[in-house]
Amino acid sequence: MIECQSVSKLYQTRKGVVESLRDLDLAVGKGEFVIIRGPSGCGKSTLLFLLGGMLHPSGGRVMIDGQDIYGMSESRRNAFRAERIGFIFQMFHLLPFLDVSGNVELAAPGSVASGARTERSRQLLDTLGLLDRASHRPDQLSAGERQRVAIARALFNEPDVLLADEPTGNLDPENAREVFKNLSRIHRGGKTLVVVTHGSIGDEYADRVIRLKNGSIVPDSTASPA
Amino acid sequence: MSVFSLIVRELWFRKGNALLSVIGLTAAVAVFVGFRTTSEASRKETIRITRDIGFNLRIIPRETDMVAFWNHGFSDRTMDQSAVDRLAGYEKVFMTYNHLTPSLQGEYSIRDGLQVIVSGEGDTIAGKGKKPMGFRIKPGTVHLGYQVAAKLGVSKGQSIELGGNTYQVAETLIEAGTDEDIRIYTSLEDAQAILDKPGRINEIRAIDCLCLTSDQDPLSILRDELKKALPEAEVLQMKSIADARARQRQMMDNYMAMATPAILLVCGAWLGTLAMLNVRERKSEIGIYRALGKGSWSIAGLILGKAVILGVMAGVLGFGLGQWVALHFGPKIFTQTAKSIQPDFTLLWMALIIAPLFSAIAAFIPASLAVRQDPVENLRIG
Repeated sequence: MIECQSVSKLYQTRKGVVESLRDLDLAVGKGEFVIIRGPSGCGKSTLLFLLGGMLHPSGGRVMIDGQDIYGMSESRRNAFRAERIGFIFQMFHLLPFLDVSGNVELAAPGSVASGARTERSRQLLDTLGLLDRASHRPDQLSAGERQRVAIARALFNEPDVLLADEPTGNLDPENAREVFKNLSRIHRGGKTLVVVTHGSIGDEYADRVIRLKNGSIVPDSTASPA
Repeated sequence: MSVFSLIVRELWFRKGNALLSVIGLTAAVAVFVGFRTTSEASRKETIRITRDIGFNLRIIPRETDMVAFWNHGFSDRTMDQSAVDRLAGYEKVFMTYNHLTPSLQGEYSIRDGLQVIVSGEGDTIAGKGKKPMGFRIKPGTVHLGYQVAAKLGVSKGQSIELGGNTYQVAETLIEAGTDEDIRIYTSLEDAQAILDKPGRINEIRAIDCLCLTSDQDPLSILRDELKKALPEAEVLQMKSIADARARQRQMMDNYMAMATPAILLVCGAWLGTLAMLNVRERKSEIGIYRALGKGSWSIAGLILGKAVILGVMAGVLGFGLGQWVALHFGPKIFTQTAKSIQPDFTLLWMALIIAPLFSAIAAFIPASLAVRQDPVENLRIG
C-alpha cells in the first residue's frame, strides 16, 4: 500500500544542512495500523508529510498503491491527496469562522452537491458523537471534540489512508484514549493508518510500532506490540 | 462550500481587517469620484480665471511704427476689418490662436481739448467648442473710464456727444490705475464712426491655444502661422499674461497629475499591507487547504476573491461618499460654476470596475506569497 524506498530529506538551515531522514525504507500494508514513535526532532512528522505528498523528498521514492506520488504533476498529486489521503493534526487546524459542519464539509470536492455534503457531514458527526455540536464554532468545543471534528473532516472523502501527526498531543489522557478508540474503529473499517506520536498511548490498538531515531528506523523496532 | 461562501464567512470573522481595507479603498474612491464630479466646475473655474487674466496676443498691421505703438498703446496703422474673418477662415488658426476680437483704438479730442482714447471692440470669433469671452457693448452706448467720466461730469444713464452722434452712458468704470481710466469703450462700429475710419481696425486681440513644451518657442510658431494666414499683420505676445495663463493651466494639470498617483500609491500600500497581514494570520488555514488537496488557484482565488469583494463594497461606498462630498462642499469651493456640479452615475460603474480591479492588484503579491507558503511549516505551527 505505502512504500518508502531509500527516502531522505535534507533541510538547509542557517547553521548548515540538516538531515531529517536518512535512506529510510518502510512498507505499510493495506489496512495496517502503524504507529511511528520517536523523540522530538527525530523526523517523524517529516516522514508523515512525505507520505502525504506534501513534502518533496531529497532522495528516494514514496509509492502508494504502486504509484510514485512525487512523479506526478502537482495538480495530480493534489487531486490524489484529496481523494486518497486524510490528515489529522495535533493542532486540529479547524477554521475558526466555520461551524463544525462547515469544517467537516471543507474537504468536499466542488462537484459534490450541497445536499450530499450535508448528509455525509451529519453521518460522520453522528458516528463520532458530535451531531448535537454541528452548528457550534470550534472555540465552543473542548479539545477532544475539536480533534473528533478534525477526524470527521479527514474521513469526509472516504480516503484509503489516514495520516495523523501527534493526534493526541494536545489532549488529556482520557481524550487521547478516546481518539485512539475512534482511530481503531476507523482502522477496523478497512483504512490504512499511520500515526506519529512521541507518547505511549495507543500501542494496544496498533498492528505495529516503529521507532524512529535521528532520521532512521531503529533496527528490530517494527514488531507487533502484542 | 463555495469559494464565495468561504470568503464571506472569513471576511465577517475578521471584520477589523476587512473594515480597514474598505475604509482605505473607500477613501480613495471617494477622492476620485469627488474630483471627477467637481472636475467640470474646476475646469470652468480655471477658464474663468485665465479669461480674467485677459488676452495675451495682439495682432497689429505689419507697418506699425513700434515706437509710436508703445508710446500711444495702439497702432497708428489700420487694416481692413475683413482681416479678422480671413484669419478665422485659415484652417489651422484655432490650433494656435483663439478668441479673435477685432478692435479699433484711436485718440479723440472731446470738448476743452480733453484727449481720450476711443476703444471699440467687435464680435469675438471663438474656436469650436469655445464660448466668446467678455461681453459686447451695445451700439449706441458707451462705457466711460474713471477719469473721462470725472472730467466730463457725467454718470450712468446720461448722454454724451461724440463725432456728431449722441451716445448713452451705460457704465462709468471704477478707477483702474491704468490708461483704461482715459478710455471710452464702444462697439467697433461706433468707434469706426467716431474716429472716422469705417470698415477699419488696427488690432486683433487673441489668446494663444498652444500648450508647448519648454523646448519650443511659442512666439516663433505663432509668427510662422500668422505669416501664412495674414501676411499684412504682425503678432506681439504679452509675455507676463501668457506666462500667468500657462502657470494657472499647468498648476491645475500638475495638481491632478500629482494627486492621482499619490492617492493610488498610498491606497495600494495600505491594501497590500492589510492583505499581507491577513495572509500571515491565515497560515494554518492555507496549510489545511493544501492538506485537503486544494491547488494554488483555489488558494489565490480566496485571497483575490476577497480583495474583489472588498473592492465592490468600497466602490459603492466610495461613490456615495464622493458624490455627497462633491455635492455638499463643491459649490462652496467653486462658487462661480456651482451649477456644473451634478451627480454623475457613470462614475458608479467606473468605481465598480476600477476599485475591485485595483484591490485585486494590491492583493496580488500577498496572494502570490500565500500560494508559495510552505504548508508543512504552516501545519506544524499552532
